Amino acid sequence: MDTAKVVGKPAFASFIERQAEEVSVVAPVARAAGEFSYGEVQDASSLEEEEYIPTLSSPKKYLLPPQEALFRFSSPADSAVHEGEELEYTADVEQKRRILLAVRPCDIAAIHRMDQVFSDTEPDPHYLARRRAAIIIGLDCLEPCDELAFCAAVGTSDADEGFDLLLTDLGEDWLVRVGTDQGAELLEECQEIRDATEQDLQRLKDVVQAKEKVFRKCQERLDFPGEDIPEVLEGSEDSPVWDEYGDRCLGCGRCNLVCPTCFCFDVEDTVSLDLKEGERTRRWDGCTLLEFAAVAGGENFRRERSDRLRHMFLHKGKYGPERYGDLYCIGCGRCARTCLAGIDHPEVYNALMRHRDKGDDHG
Amino acid sequence: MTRSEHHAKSLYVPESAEIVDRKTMTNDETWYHLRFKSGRTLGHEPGQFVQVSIPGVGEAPISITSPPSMTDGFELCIRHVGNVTNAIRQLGKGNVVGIRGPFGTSFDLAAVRGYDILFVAGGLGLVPLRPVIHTALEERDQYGRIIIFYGTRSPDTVLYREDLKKWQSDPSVDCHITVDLADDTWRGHVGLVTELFHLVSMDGENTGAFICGPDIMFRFVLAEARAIGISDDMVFLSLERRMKCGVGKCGHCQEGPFFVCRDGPCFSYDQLQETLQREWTE
Ligand SMILES: Cc1cc2nc3c(=O)[nH]c(=O)nc-3n(C[C@H](O)[C@H](O)[C@H](O)COP(=O)(O)OP(=O)(O)OC[C@H]3O[C@@H](n4cnc5c(N)ncnc54)[C@H](O)[C@@H]3O)c2cc1C
Ligand code: SF4
Ligand code: SF4
Repeated sequence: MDTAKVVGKPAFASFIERQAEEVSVVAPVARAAGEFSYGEVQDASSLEEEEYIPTLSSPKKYLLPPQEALFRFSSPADSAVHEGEELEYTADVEQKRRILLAVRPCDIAAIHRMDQVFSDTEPDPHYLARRRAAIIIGLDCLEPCDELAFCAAVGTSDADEGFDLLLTDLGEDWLVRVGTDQGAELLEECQEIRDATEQDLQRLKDVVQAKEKVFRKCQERLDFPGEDIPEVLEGSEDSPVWDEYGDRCLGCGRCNLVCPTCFCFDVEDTVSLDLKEGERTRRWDGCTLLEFAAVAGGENFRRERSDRLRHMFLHKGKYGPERYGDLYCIGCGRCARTCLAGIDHPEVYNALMRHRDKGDDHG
Repeated sequence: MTRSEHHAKSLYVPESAEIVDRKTMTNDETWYHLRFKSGRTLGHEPGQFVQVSIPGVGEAPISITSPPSMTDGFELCIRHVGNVTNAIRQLGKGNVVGIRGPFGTSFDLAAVRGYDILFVAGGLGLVPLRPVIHTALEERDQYGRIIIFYGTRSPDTVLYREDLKKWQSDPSVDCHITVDLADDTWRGHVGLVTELFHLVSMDGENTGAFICGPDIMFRFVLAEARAIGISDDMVFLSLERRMKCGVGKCGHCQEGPFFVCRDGPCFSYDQLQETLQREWTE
């Protein structure tokens, strides 16, 4: 294993408080009963939250903000920006140091997937600058959040990589797993910290082992092993399941907005009132929205809600894994919690599986 | 500023290119000759596209219509249909637009070396095929017969008249044009582009095809290509999908597992089989 340390909870809390004086620290904060969202914090109280369920919006927003300027343009001449004079372009890439605290294993897995997408082929400088400036202090989950989470079914309830530091609750102490050099460096500023002993590691092992039992129900939300999702989707294109759920789907795009692995964006230009400067902005977009694949001339390549819902599932469960080797659904259940039609992804996967089996019986 | 400096700043920042010439081609389409202010050559392959920016209005993917052998700038042919494509219509010689690219895959001419080539263009589909045709003609001895089928709505929508005239009078090229709706001036064929398949006898097994046109055309042309025995891996097509970023990030152009801007726009029929079939059966 990577190196491990042990620190008393009060000492770690004061370490976080000191960090918060210097850099931005963000963590899940309770907004109302059973409702959390990521926001700036000054202390480590988010680590002690007992009733946690995944934040409405994921920590993705700190790496890919809901809206951001890609660049600005201005006309040095006495003309409007669109009138064909040569323009000046400036692109600022934000590199603000930020600690993402209490990131749960599912969201750590989601960030790993976003990293894959934004460093693929043509790396995205905006995302990568924010990512490089971010420090991830993960927090292991010792029990599932609620009955909608299915992280254990898709293999994201334990984090093995993708964090700088990962905390596991040992009662009075935190066991801190160090995932990167950056994490190790940061820990040098933490006082009263010591190397983990054999005994500590045994305690960690016990805690992790106990998880297996506690997460069994969460794992059983899917009737088959998560790694079979691509196979279940294979050849499912014509399944009646898509019509059934497509009928229920409102095509509202809320699931896309809350999903920690949805990365699609729209691009729009805005200009100042005197038309002499402006910026090109990108904004989160969603593949379940009607206009997503529409082009000039009236053609729409996924006109039906069922086409778009199916595309979302195929992207998460088949195309993503085919390209990157990982499922692009990390089982956080955010989409189901927010969906007005009550569409729950494991339920859809199970229905596809049942229909597939039925199909097999017939022939 | 050089492209690499731009790149370090943002993948999304365009480079300035000057309109050195423009010509009205039809009521709806204009031809542009552009040159980068920095002096760099575009360095593209036939079938690739650029993102054309009118800052303040937006960006649109447009195929490069000049062959790579043309190094003094590059050419585009733009149909004015919406925000960006109408904004560029207001610009003239000496004006500057933003360009990113070249992006995407190119048409695989190497795959058809030694074969007969069939080009099938519908409407604006001639735009991305033109650089492939030019390149094939520049290395004429590498290929067998060169057959061109071009179909368009009506005589006044015919693009690249000079090219077509040249190809029609070139004894080493078999070029056929058809219109859906003729007028008094039209002496040529009338009907759908698929009908041209019945005018020319072809040796399908020794032919590679390059096809571009509206989605509806693909279905029928691909069926004809199969019927004359061209194998699916020797059929190449270029797809048009909604695109915002052009670099495989914004997600709009996804077609099945592919990002059309990055994995396409040029594909072999082989690659697309499953995906297109599904779309057509819906
Ligand atoms: C690879 C490729 C090559 C193309 N080559 C050419 C060409 O050589 N000549 C030509 O005239 N047209 C070409 N098109 C189509 C052209 O991109 C659209 O007509 C153009 O984007 C419309 O933009 P607009 O702002 O004028 O229209 P609006 O309807 O105002 O478009 C708004 C936005 O919708 C999106 N959009 C709308 N229609 C399309 C579309 N058909 N394709 C992609 N995105 C779209 C764009 O992101 C655009 O910014 C090509 C498209 C693709 C994908
Ligand atoms: S699945 Fe639910 S949240 Fe997503 S678009 Fe459909 S109705 Fe909206
Ligand atoms: S699809 Fe739903 S459950 Fe899966 S990662 Fe996205 S929001 Fe979470």
